[in-house]
Amino acid sequence: MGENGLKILKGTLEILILKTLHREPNHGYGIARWLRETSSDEFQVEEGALYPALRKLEKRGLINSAWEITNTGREAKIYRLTVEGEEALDAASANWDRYVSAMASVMGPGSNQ
Amino acid sequence: MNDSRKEQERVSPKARVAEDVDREISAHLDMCVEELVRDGWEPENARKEAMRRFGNERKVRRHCRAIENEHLRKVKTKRIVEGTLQDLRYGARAFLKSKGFSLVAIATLAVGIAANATVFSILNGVLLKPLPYDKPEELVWVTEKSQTGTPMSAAWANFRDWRAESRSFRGLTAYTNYPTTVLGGTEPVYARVANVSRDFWTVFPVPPSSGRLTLPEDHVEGVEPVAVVSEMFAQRYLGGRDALGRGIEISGTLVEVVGIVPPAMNFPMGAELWVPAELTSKSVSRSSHNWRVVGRLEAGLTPSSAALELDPMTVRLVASSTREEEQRYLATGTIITPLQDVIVGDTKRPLFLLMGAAAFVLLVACTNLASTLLARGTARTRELAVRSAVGASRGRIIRQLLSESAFLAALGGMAGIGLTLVALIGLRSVAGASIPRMESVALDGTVLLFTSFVTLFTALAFGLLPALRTGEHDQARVLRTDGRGNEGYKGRIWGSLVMVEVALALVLLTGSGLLVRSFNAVLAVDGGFDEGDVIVSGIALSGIKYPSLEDHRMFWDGMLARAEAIPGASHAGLISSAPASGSLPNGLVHLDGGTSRTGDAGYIVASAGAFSALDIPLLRGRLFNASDGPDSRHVVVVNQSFADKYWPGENPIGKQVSGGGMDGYWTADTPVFGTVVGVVGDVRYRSLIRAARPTVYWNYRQRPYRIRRGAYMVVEADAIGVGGLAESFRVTLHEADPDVAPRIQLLKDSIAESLAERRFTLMIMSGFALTGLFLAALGIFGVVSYAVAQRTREIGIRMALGASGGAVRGMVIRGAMAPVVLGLLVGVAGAWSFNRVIAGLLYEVRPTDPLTFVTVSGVLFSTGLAASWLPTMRGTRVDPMNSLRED
Repeated sequence: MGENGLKILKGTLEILILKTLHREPNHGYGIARWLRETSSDEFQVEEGALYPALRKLEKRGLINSAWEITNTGREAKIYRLTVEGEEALDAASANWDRYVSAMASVMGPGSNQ
Repeated sequence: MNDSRKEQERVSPKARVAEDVDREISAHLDMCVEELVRDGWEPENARKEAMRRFGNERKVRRHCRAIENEHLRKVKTKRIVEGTLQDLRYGARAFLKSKGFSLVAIATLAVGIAANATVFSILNGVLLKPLPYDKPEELVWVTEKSQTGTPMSAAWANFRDWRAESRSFRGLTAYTNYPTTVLGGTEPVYARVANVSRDFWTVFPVPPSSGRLTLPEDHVEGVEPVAVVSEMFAQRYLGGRDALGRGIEISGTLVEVVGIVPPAMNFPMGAELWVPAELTSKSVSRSSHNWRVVGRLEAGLTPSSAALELDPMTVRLVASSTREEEQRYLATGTIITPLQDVIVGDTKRPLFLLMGAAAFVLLVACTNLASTLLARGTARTRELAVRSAVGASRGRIIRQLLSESAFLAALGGMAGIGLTLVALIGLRSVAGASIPRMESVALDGTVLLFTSFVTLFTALAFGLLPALRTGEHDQARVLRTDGRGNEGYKGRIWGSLVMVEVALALVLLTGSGLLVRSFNAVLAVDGGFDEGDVIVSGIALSGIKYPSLEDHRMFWDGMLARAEAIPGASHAGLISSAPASGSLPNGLVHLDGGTSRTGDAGYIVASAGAFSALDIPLLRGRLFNASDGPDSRHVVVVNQSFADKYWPGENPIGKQVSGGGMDGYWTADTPVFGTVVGVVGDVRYRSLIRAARPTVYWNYRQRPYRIRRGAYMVVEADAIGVGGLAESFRVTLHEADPDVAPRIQLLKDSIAESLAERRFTLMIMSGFALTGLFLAALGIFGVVSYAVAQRTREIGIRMALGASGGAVRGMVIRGAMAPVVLGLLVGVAGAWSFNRVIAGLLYEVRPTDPLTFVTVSGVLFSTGLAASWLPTMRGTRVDPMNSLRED
């Protein structure tokens, strides 16, 4: 995560969180770490920004949470995807694919010339 | 678990949210530090790095809390809405379950709420709504202060100087108004004309609906006279828009109509034409108080600050007046009052009295419902106990009961508004012109708002006590005992409710009883004349057709002869003031043929026939007769009070008295006295309840000066009755002069009109009192019925053990009447202390009038007795065995 890291596009943080939780239930720090590692430090996200997003998702019923003891023996609030969350993620992924291919065909080879 | 849950519940949800957020953030930071240290960071730097990666911790915390709190709010709102909907469903279900009770309850409430909404509509329209003129708070009434400290009309000379010297006013205007004949329209009209001075339209800046208002150049002596007329007048008599430019004749002056003003312009009250007052020269006297003055204050000034300027100014101005005969009529200062207070005047007190009475009616209604609901609540104790046993909290049950009463109150409020509409229509026709500003009384937003508050209050007032009482029950005990129990406590509560109801009803009945007695006293007043079978008509002659005093005298000579000759008329007369409903001008008189002795007297111009038509008794001497011609010695008739005051113990016949400043026959060089030829009984001219003034009657054939602007004709019917008299009189007048518009009325009706405001107050108050009585009777009936029903078993046992029906009935009725009697005592004490409020409205009845108190208590006592007798009779007619078997 350097000076020239990527800014996360508006609205995409939520999809990233859902995707992360789809893999396995996790706490906020775990989500942040996973995002950092899988994007090879590209995403320039302040870890704190995750929490409001998490709480919003929870209010919308896409995830739920509970305080649990982690493998390292520490108390943490663990978030899980709900059924609605799974559906929302599916819909968002499909949408994302279309978006990316549409963007790609516009921005694709030739657009730089 | 249970403990921690309780622990959690003690902390507020908001605090819990804050803690959760904090915990989560610190867990995050700890995990991060731990990992960094594992990766080889110094602990201290690791902490800094973790915080850097996290970003703005405070912002995140705040943001998270906001999200959670917003969510809490939403949940709470949703719960309230759902709860309320559920309550309403309960309310509606309860309503449907006992339709009879609910309808009675709604009707009771509707009456109570309507009483308040009606009176408040009137109060709002008459007292609270601002006058319909621009910045009405700046409008003030300016009067001179008489030597007894009372307000009196202003002298033109004083007004002129105030206007020139004062800096307190943006505009200051003087006016007079009088009814007169207006000619030149589709027919002669007897209409009210206002003579207004230059600033009138600055004080009342009303945009004309067509044409223009009068301009300063119209308000100059000697210019072509112009007039502004009301829309209604233009419509009815001048062909609407064609009115502009039209010439009409107003009391002898040809006037061009230059403008029409909308109906909102109703000042002076009832005026239909406005004419510049400056067209003729004005008296320089500082003691002829003929002008009313209204001013518009400079922005930011108050009536009292203006008075600070004008009061000493007036004292200084009148000091220049040295004429001896003026001295006792000169002002001692200036009084300035907000205009609205003056217009509303005497209506204020009765309206506040009625508002209080309406509140009492509502309280009776509430008390009534509270006791009924309490009875129902007891019947439902079991249902509520079950509900509570299955987990409804006490608060929840109280809320349910309150929402049931709110449901009833809402329906009652709506029905009440319907009733109010009806009542207002009825009252508007009763009030007529007697209540100022009645036209602005309406069921508007303010009234609806007020009604909603009243309804809300009502729901709480009658729902709260039963709800609290019911919520109090120990569920287990109730379920065990089948809902019975604690009779003594309930009995006490009902007893106090009945007591309160009776006390409130007594106060209402006493108030209305006093007003009835007072009204009867007014009706019984001997005004000194007999209004039976007499018609009265205001008549004003055209000044163009009758330019000289001689012309007037000749018209009246002829007209009086014609009127006397009407078949069915026994006497006809002319008089410058109408009895009991008119005004009586008064002024200085000189006594005994010289200037050394002076007095004050009412001034009336009359014909001999007026005394006969009105049956005013001749006590001494004679009336005017044919020998008293214009050229013979001037003669007068005085009333008893005048004779007693100025010549006590002497024979007044032959004494001398002058007309003073009241007519054109008094100048310092050639004083013309009148010789007293007769003494007549006192007559109350100003109103039935104001004592007669010492009065001098002048003969119209000798001094017609004061009737140039108009006078009244009184015609008494003969034995056949007053039936067709008005019509024959109209015809006769038309024959005498087709250009005179009469306004014919039975004298009886014109007097009734003068009492309309009193009658208005009395009617509403009596309506309230009867409602209060009826509601109280209903309440007693209900409570006793219920108590008897509850005691059926006890009554059965007593009768089975040999008690006679009479003894048992006596016991029940004694029990029922105890709170009634207590209520009477409390009510008497209450009514006694409300005396001061009503005292000012009474005439010749003391607010502690024993007859009223005794009668009213008797009525209430017998009503209470009847209301408890009926259910008792029903309840004790049971077969003892049946009542025992019932359980």
